[in-house]
Formats: sequence, C-alpha cells, structure tokens
Amino acid sequence: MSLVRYIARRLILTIPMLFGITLVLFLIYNIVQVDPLVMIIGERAMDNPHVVEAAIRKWGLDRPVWEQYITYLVNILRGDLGTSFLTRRPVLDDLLTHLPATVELAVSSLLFAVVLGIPLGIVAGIYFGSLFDRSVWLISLLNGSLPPFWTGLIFLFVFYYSLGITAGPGRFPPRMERPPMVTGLLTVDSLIAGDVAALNGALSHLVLPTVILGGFTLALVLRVTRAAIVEEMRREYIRTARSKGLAERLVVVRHALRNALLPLITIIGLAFAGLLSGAVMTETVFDWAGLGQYLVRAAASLDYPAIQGGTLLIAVIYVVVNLCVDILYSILDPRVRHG
Amino acid sequence: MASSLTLSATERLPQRTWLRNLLKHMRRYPSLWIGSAMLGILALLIAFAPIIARYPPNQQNLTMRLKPPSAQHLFGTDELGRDIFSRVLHGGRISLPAALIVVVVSLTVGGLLGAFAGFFGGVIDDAIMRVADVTLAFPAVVLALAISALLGPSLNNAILAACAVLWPEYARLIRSQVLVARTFEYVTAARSLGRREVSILLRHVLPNTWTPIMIKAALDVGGIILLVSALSFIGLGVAPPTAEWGSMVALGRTKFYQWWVATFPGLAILVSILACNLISEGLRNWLDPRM
Amino acid sequence: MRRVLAFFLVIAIAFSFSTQLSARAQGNTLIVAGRFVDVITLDPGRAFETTNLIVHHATYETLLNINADDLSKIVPGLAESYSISEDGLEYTFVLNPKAKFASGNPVTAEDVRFSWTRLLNLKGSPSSYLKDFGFKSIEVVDERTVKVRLESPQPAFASVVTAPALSILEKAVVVAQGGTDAEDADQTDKAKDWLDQNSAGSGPFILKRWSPNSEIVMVRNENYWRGPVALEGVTLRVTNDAASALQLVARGDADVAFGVDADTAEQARNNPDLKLNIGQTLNLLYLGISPSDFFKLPISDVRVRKAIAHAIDYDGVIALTGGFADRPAAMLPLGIAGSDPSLRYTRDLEKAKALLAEAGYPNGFSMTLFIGGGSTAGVPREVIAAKIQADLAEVGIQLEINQQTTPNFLTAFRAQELPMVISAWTPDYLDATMWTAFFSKADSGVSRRLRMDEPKIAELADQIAAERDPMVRERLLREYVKAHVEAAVFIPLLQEQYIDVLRSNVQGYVFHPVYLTDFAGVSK
Repeated sequence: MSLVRYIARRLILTIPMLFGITLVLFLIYNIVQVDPLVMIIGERAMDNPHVVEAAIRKWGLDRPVWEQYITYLVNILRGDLGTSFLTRRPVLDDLLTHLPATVELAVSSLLFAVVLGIPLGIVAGIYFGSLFDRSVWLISLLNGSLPPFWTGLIFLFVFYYSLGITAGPGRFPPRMERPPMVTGLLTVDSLIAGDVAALNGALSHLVLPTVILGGFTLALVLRVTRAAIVEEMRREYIRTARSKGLAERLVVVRHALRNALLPLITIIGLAFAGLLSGAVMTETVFDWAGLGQYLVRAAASLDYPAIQGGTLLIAVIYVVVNLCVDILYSILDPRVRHG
Repeated sequence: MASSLTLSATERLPQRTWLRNLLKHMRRYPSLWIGSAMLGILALLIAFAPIIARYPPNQQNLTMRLKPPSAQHLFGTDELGRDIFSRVLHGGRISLPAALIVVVVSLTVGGLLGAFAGFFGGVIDDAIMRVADVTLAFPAVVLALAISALLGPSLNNAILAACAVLWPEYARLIRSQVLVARTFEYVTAARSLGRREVSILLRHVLPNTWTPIMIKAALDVGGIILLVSALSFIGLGVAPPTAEWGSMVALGRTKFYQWWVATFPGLAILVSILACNLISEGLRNWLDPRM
Repeated sequence: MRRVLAFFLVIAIAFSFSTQLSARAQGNTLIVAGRFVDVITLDPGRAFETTNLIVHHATYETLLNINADDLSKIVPGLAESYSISEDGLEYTFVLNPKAKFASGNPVTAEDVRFSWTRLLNLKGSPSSYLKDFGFKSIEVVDERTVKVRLESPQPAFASVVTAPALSILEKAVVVAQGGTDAEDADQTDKAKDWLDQNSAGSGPFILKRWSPNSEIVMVRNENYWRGPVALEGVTLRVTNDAASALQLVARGDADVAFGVDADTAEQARNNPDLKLNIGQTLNLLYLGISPSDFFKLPISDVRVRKAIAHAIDYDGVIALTGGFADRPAAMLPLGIAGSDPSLRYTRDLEKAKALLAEAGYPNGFSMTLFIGGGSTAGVPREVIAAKIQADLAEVGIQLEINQQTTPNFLTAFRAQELPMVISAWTPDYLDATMWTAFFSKADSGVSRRLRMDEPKIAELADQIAAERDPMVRERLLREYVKAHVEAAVFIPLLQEQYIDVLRSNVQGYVFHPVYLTDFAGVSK
C-alpha cells in the first residue's frame, strides 16, 4: 500500500470515530436531567417569571432532547459548539482562549520529558545495574507514583513560598506587563515582541508545573530508552564491541536509539494526549488558566455546552495526535502499512 | 506460563528447598516482594483501622483544631479536630477496595467482551471494538470528570466513571492476546475434538492470557487509586464527611501552613500507588522478562 | 560520561536562569489576588455576579452612594440631590454639573435615561432591580434632571439606585459600540463584547482588559472629575484558593489577598510584612428547616425545630471561622436597623431534649441534610454540615449529609424538594427588603422553597416594604425578627466577616458590604 493511500485510509477511518465521540457525549449528557436554568440566570432571578421565560426561550430548553441533539450536531459541523451557560460566550471562543495555556504547558512538559528522559535513559542503559541506573530507576518509579495535585501543592509551598527560588502560581509574573497577544502562548508572544524580560517571566512560571506534569512522561521516556539500550547491549556483537572500549559504545547508543525511536514516537504521541488531560490536575493547583481548569469549573457548575465542547475538543486533539503518530510511524517503518 | 511451571516444580520438592527457592526468588525480584509487603502492611492497617486508630474518623473535637502531630495524634488533627491518622486509615477503606472493585469489574466486563471479540471475530468483534475505540478516544481523566460531574459526586459514581474508562483497555488487551492464543495448536486440537467454542475460549484460551493482564491489573489498581482521589480532590468523588484521601488533600490545600493536613493523606496515596507499581514491575520481571 | 554531565549542566543552568525573576514592577499598581472566577460579563446591564461589583464600582458611578462608614446613610453620587414626591411614586434626580465621563464629556440626564432603559430592555437578571420595584418610566426633564415614576411607593428605591447595576454609561460610546436601549435590546444590543474589555463610565478607573480566569486590568482615569486617584491601576489576579493568594502576597507578588479564610489569615498574623483588614459583611449562612407537612418529617412540629435550634453549638460554629464571624437572631443581619441579637437562640441541650420529648421524639429521629458546594467565612459547606451533624447527634437526631454540586443543589432546593438545607444569602443593595422580601412569603423567595407558610411573617414583610417612616419601620422589623425566631424555620449560623490580607504598605483600604472594596482611596 502506498503511503498516500495509507494516510487516506486512516483519515477516512477517523470520521466514524469522530461521529462516535459526539454520540458518546450525547448519551452521557442525556442520562442525567438537571435543570440548568439556575446556572443561566442566577439563583435570585429564578423567582422572576419574566426572566425565567425569556431564558427558556433563548436557550431552547423547551424543545425535545433529540431535537437539541440534532441541532447540536449540525452546529458542530458549522463550527458552533453552543454557548456556555456559565460564561455566556460561544464555547468555541472560550476553548480557544484557554487552549494556548494548555498547549504551552503540554509542549513544555513534553520537551522536558524528552530532553531529560532520553539522555538519562541512555546513561542508565549503558551503566546497566550501576548505582546511577538504580537511582534513576527509583526516581522514575517514584515519579510514576506521585499524585500530581499533591506534589504541586508541596512544590509550591517549598520552592515558592518557603524558599522563593521559583515563580509562584499563574502563567506570568503578576507585576509585569504581558506581551501583546498574538498566539496566546506567552513564551512565543514574548519572543515576537522581542521582550526578553517577559520571556524570562513566562519561562519562570512554566518551571514548576512543567516538572510536575512532565515527571510522569519523563519516567515513560526514560524507561523505553533504557530498555532499548539494554536490549542492544545484550546482543552478541555488542559484547565484542564492549571490550573495545567506550568509543565503541557510542556506536551502540546510536544503533539502540534508532531501535528505540519507534516505541518512543508512540509513547510521545500518547503522552502528549495524556499531558492534555493530566493538565486538569496541574492547572487546578497552579492557577493555570487553561482547558483543564475550564473543564473543572464547567463540571462543577454543570455547564453542559462547555463540558461537551471541552471534552469534544480534547478527544479530537487526542484522535488527531494519534493519527499523526500513526502516519509518522508508517513513514519510518513501512512494514505497518502492510500489517 | 513460566509461573505455572515454576510452581508445579517447587510443589514436589522437600520443604527446605522450597524455602530456599522462595528466598532466592525474593532476592531476584525484590520489587515484587517489597511491593507486596507494602501493600500487605497497608491492607492490614486498613483492615484493622477501627482497632488501631484511637479515635473514630469523624469524631470532632473543636478544642483540638489543627494540632500538629503528637503522641496522641500521630498525624495531627484537621480543622474540625478530627484525628488525621484515623482518617487516613479509614480513607484507605474507601480507596483500596474501590480501586480493586474497578479493576475487577473492568477486567471481567472488558475481558469477556474482548475475548468474545477476538475469538469470534466478525460483526461481534467490530461492534465491541468500535465502542471500545470511541471510549478510548477520550483521555481517561476527562471522561471520568464528565461522567462523575453529571451523575453527581459520590463514591459509586466515581467507581462507575473509572470502570467506564478502564474496561476498553482490557477489552483491547485481551482481544489481542486471544488472537494470538487462537492460533496455538492445542486450540486447533480442541476444536477438532468437537469442543464447544465457548468452552474452548474459557478453558483453553483465556488461561493463557494471564501474564500481561496481571501486570496491567497491578498497575491499574494504582492508577485507579489516583483517579478516584483526583476526582475527590476536585470535589467530584466521595461525599463528606467520609474520609477519603483526595478530598483530605483538598481540605488541606488552604491549610498549607499546617502541613500535616495535606501531607499524610498524600503520602498514603503515594505509598499505595508505589506498592502497586512495584508489584507490577516485579511481575513483569518475573513473568515476562523480555521487557 | 563527561559529555553527558556537561549536557545536564547546561539544562540546569537554563532552568536556573529562567527562574531568575526580573523585578520590572508596574509602578504604582495594586495587585489584588483572589477567587475572581465568577465573572461572566463586565457589561453593567448584564452582569449579576460578585466580582463585577468591584470592577463596576471602580469604573462606573451611580447616582447615589452608600459609604462604608455609615451604611444607613444615602449620600450623593453623580446626582448632587434628589427628591421624592408626596405620594412616594416620583423620584427626581439632579446631576452634579461637574460630573464627566472618562472621555471628558459631561454626564447628562440623557445618559441616565439611556443606561437605565437599556438595563431594563436587556431583560437580563439585573433588570430585576428596576422591575421588582415597579419601575414605570424615566423621563429627561432637562440636561441635568431626570424624573423616575414607580407603580407603587417603594421606600427602598433610593438604596437600589446605589446598586452597581444601575451605573451610568456614556450613551455616545455605548451606541458607537453597537449598544441600544430599544425595546428589543435583548436581541439587538451588540455592546457586550466591547464592554467586557472596556468601560464607558465616570469612575476613578478605566477597564483596560479582562482575560477570563486570569486577570482583570484597570488603569487610572486621568480625567476623573473628582481629581485623579493615587493608584496608577488595579489588577485583579485570579487564584483558585486563598492559599495561593496568600502565597503571592507573602512573597510580594501581590499587594492584597482578597477574601481569605481565618486559618489562612492566622498565618499572615505572624508575618510583619502583612496586615489584616476585617470587614463586616451582610452575608448570612443559615440552616433552613421546612415547617411543611409535605415531607412527613418530625420537623413540621415547631417544638422539634426549636429543639434543633437549641442543640446547635453556635460558639463552636463561629470558632470554625477562627472567630471571624457573628450571628444575628433571624434572617436580618446585624448592622441593619431592627436586627436584635438579644433574641438569638443559645445552646441548651436539656431544653432541646425536653422539647423533643414533648413533641414525641424522646430518642430523636433521623433525616437528611442537603448542602451544595462553596464556603462561607472560609469554612466549606461540608465542614459546617459535619459540625451540625455532630451537634444534633447529641440530642439523638441523626443527620445524613447529602452534598451535591451547587447547581444540582439549587435546582432541587428551588423545586421545593429539600426538607433541610444549609445555604447562604448575599445582598445586592442595602435595604431590609433585601431579606424580608425573600424569607417571608409562601409563594416567593427562599421561604417558598422550604414551603414555609407563616401568615404573620408574610404580613409583616408587606408592611415593612410599604413603610416610609424609618422609626415605624424599625419597630416592624423588630417584630419581624421575633416572629422568625418563634417560627424557627431559618436559623442563622453565621454572619460572615471578610478578611483581606494586605501588604503593610497598602493604605486606605476599606471593606464595603456591597461593592466589597473601594480602590479610590487606596495608596501604597
């Protein structure tokens, strides 16, 4: 199968998937019937029949459920995710406002995991069984066991409040003027504005949440890299190479890395989606105005359109990332196209 | 498979050799045994919580609000003067069984569905796996968040939400295992002997899929402990005043100066997840040395 | 190995470099950290939450004001004077000739007419301020004079005029941004998006930007008609909880931690850089017990309700707030004329047991207490509920606590399905009717939700709403409180105090029970 045909097939298979996603959302949201009116117009105004009636008409709450669903589907196709009960703005606008913060944190966490995880994994693999290997293993095991909402609190308390060596909660130093909004990614916007101080400010606020959120991915990346190196080292010809000294080992690393690349891409693809959802906890702890926080708030106030839209967006990102990973995979390893 | 061989071999040996083998096994797979020991101790502490803890978990004592750890209150007290040690132990009576229930239910439901899908193929396979695919298209935390938000915050709903996100993973795993096992010779043989399909599936195919399932299940118990406590942390899990680790951390969040309020329930989460991860890691080393 | 070490060193340096906080301060701007998450819109004609009150009070002005130093006195705002006709139906406001908008244009009678008519025709929740008071018409008499007609005499109307929703917007600016006061403004007004990011008022500050869930930035109005204020600007910075806010203030990244709980405040006490500002709010937290037979529960017997009222350890409840709270006798907060604390219930377990025995429940009974989310005076609902649960258990009443998300809770409460609740009430303007109109009638307000039908209370509420003589009104309010205590349906648990943590260089910061705070007098 040619690459183009493979990609086309994967794309077509994605369509029923996306349809299924909206169906699942529809089913979930119609199991429970709660009167969303109180969220729309506020507790006090509930007693004002004039206001109540206007709201019911405006939000179409008097129409049957299936009709609401059909409208919903048609609207999605038009790029309209409805209007949030809570913020009263189009959900899509809300999501786009909150998306950059999440993407910035996810990308930074992924970079952190890869940039630190691969070299650590290589060293641990080469010195397999050494003290270094064991301590790296222990740290990555701990990393995979820490509840992020708890670690976040502790890190903030220790590194920000007590020691003052990192920046605090939020995305940007409160006393600093934000760079003009272009992409919504504060680091990129600072670069565009050529504002070094602002870039520094944005980066400093990324440190703690990145370590917390990226920690889990770091453990994954490290594990895969290390396993690939160890496996390569075990092979017969390597044993010969080893006797020849350290320079030869670098050959091994290069070889092993090529083998580790495929599982790494899969893991990184999955991890990116995991980061998007893991952000739910981290963002809550770090006052990070991203999608996760938006979703938690929407969930707490039963803002149907917002939960529906937010979940849909994250699921779509997840599907798209997986699609990209599959395609990348098929380019690197043509065998999967025939599988 | 390796496991059954080792065990049947040891059974026949005299006792002292058996003991020596066990010790050897412990030395070779320390993470399995350390993890099991941690989980065992934790389980005992939790099981005997009413005896071990000096105070009932919900007993308030407002004159003893927010007292630091002491001999009387090992982990200190919270804002209602409740004993945090007792609440942490009793919180385990929620988190651990809940995680076990979720894994067992997801394993059974997802496992059976996956096995049927893999064994029979065709329309059944397509139908089951498409539903699983769609469910898997949602990141677990997000789907669980949405489900438990809409069903209302309670332990049962958190469990339900966790099952909803976990079953497809088992369905997928077991399906792939079954697909492999189907081609084994003894399955073909059993079929040629005229055994019924379902009994072949249950007697011959499924038992051979245990290894990856056990490794995953151990890992998932930890994952679900985290998921349930995370839901409680954002107020979508266990209802108060029931002691639960995630909601205890949430209450301690604004009391950061009284560090003990959030620290100990957090440590409890850490220790139990760590134990599960160690067990899973050890099982992998033992049963599936390829990784 | 050496190369690997070098690699890690580079990463470590990169990280430590990025943590070097640059201290490029924004001059004389006040950074306020708090839970400002409730903002939906900053259009004064549409907003109906809490944080918008702070912003609107800073960026707009109303015709009349009530200052924090004397809550019973209505003072001039944009209007230098006002008069009420003999029959109480007609209010005439005369604008201050010096008043001008941030744009430099004078505030005219037409701006007043436009702002209020627009508010009414947007038909949003805040339009109830005018509707509920029988607002009939508004008419421009001349450049500086407007006349308002009401359907019936409403002694509370002057205090309603101080509500930020009745702020005056500059007509020319709003119209230029697509705003309208037409009958169908709810469909045709397009000014919301602009007003979310800008202001068109005459207040001491100008709204510069609102980033949802992140921050609200206001800068000084250099054209302020009473003279520019000391602060260059105010930024409301969103944090998820009081702990984050306190951390920011303690480290000097913010100047004010807004509305923190007592335990957090306690930590600030030990810090010489910080000080506390304590404000008495009019926010009440209450236990509501339905007197209705509908639920087929023992609580329909007034003796049982009184037993519950006598079983609560009120001092213990207040201790949960660290002592930062008070308690009125009924749903009329302390600070409002007529609220008499001497009538308060006190804990008396013997009396409670006797009342229960008399009612036929010597061994108590069990039932469910419903709560939503959120907290009052920094104490989460579930903590208060656990406290009440423990207190009532001492007289044999076993409560099961049912906590739901706030919207679920309010939906069920409103549907009259909940026999016993803990909930809170926050005023929008300062008049006794803010409570008597909502806690008295069988067919409206919170009393309807609990199926309370107490004709005496309802009748008193009607008399209070119509009474214009303050002395008579106060006497009626005293009777009203007494009647409420007798009925034992709404048991106030707390009257919240608002605690703000300030850096010690912040001067002139005062709390206001409606606008929460007033930045005009603040300096640092």
